[in-house]
Amino acid sequence: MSTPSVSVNRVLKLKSSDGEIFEVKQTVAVQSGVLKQMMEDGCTEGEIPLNNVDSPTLAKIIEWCNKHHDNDVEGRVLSEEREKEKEKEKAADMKKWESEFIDALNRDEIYFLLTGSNYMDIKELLDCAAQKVADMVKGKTPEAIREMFNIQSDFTEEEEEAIRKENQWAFD
Amino acid sequence: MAKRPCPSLTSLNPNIVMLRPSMDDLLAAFLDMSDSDTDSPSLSIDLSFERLLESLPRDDDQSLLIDRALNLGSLLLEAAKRSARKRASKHNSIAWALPPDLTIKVFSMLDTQSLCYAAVTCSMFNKCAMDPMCYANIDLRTVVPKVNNAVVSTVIQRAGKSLQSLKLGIVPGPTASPWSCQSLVYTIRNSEDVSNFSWNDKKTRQGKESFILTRTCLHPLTVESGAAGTLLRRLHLYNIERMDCTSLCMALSACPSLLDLEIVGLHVELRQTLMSVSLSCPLIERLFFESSKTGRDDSLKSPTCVDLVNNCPHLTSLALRGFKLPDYKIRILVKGFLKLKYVDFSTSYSITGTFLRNLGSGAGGNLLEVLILRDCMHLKEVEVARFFSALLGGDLKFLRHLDISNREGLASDGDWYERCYSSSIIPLKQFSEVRQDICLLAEFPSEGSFVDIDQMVDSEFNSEISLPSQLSSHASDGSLLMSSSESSYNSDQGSGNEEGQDSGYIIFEESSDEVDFLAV
Repeated sequence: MSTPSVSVNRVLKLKSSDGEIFEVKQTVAVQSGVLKQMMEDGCTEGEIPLNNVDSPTLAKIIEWCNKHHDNDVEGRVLSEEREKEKEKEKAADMKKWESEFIDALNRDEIYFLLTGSNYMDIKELLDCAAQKVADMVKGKTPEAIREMFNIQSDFTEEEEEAIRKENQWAFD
Repeated sequence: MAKRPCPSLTSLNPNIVMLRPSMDDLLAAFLDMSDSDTDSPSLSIDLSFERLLESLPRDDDQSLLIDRALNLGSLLLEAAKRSARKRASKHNSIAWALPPDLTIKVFSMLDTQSLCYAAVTCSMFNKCAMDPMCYANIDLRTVVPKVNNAVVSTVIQRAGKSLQSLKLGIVPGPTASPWSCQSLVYTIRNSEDVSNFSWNDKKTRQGKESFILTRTCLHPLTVESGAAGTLLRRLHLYNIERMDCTSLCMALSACPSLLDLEIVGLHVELRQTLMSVSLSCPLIERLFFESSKTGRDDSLKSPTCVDLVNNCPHLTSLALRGFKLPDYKIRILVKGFLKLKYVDFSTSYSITGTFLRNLGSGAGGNLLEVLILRDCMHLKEVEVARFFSALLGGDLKFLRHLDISNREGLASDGDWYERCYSSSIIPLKQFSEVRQDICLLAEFPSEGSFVDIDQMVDSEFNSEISLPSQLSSHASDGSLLMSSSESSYNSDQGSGNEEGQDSGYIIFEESSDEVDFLAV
């Protein structure tokens, strides 16, 4: 941690849109681009209001950040070889954890997580959640997509025909 | 609240205000009718309309009434449809809680076909699915041909300058584990899926409906002074039968940022393609090239290897599969690319394995992590054994994956007709104990078949043999890479002597003559 204002023991107080206060270590909070910037600017005194994130979502976001918190204090004695091996294992474990984390959420929770992580600028979480939604869309026909996401066609007949024609190859 | 929104309007044109409530009442009453009647509404409208018509004595008036009814009916229909669409749009914006920028982010993770499906779903999705960001990674690979040039052109235009990756062509099916040795070359004529399909279908020459990618399919990369190609990083092309060298090279010349080029089953020449890469793509990191005609493309010349090595210093991954590659050319490549980590020469002919000697010493090749020499017909048992000893001695300490499997077994030292399926001189057991860090694949079937070896023999004899005098007369002209002792690498430069040889020339043992080339 290069920035002097960031220390291991200090915590930030995050206030969700519904008024709940969450305490987060600064070393964890740096994963949020927005919070990192605030720390660098030295304006993290008191409660930090996050008006676009409700408390269940913020709890999820903090759970994610705590898990991804880089605590590689041990392991420095390991040889380069062993370290690489361990890194690989760690990465595989993390992947598993991430997919379990995201699979446990319902669609609305994922939407909130997406907007929340976007608002707080947490790239990895944003990517993970977006990928989950993309996977839900993937390989489905327009009809199946509509059904899955409760979407209704709002094209005129002419529009629909023109758009289908434009993307005809995908339907053959 | 006290103020009326627009009092002046009322005074100016009282009709507008007066008209509106009566119109609303009328319409409400009219629409109410459709479900207030216990009888079928269509019948009652029918009867009522008939009576109204009959009450009019004049034919003109009757016609007028019918016209009015039709007109009003369609107006009502349009109004209802428009409202339904509006409501659907509103419903969608609530059901889909993501703002456009995040929707675009999600869509940018879709494959191109799914993206097209999403585009047809509703107007909000359609708008998002037209964003250039969604087309940064275009994947138009299909199992059966259904993409034509027009489709490629459309999606490349949608991508504009956002285009980063383009995958195109016919692939055998969903495969591709990273070290898969399965060939991706695909002969469409043999496929059951497309049994009704003919390359010479008349449609293909005339109509726009055809599903054929022609040689100009990459043209959209080069138009507008190559705007779409300028930032392209990845280009993967599979089994596009009609692609030719000139068109491919033209496309490559528009892609100066290319990092990853994969070419499988195209009828293009290795030498010209690599020349084009070395001229146009200085940043290239990964090159994967699988021949469409196993072992017959021997076009690669040493100067091309040297140019490639000098012009493309960032290459870390090199696969040349199914070509005819003599060891000394491979050696130029493997020793020349100083960052090389991944190498795959599977199913290539002529490789005996002499290029493996001293591979770990000096720069180039010493960083190798993956080395795949699967089904290399001429790979010699003795060279593999020698290589294993070097590995046992600690050479190539970064090597993690080694594949020397061969469905025909390995070639014996003197005569490659003699195949060895279980080697006594390769210290396999000791190897797996000492170099546990390496994942070794050395699978040899207990019985081999020599089906296609006989057919190859003639061409082998024609091209593999060179006279010593010719070797020394074609000296290298100032390549950065070669020391004077290695000048004979360039034996194939110039006179095209490879093809011109009579098979009656003296045969000398390969291993002994190549020792001179390769001793470093």
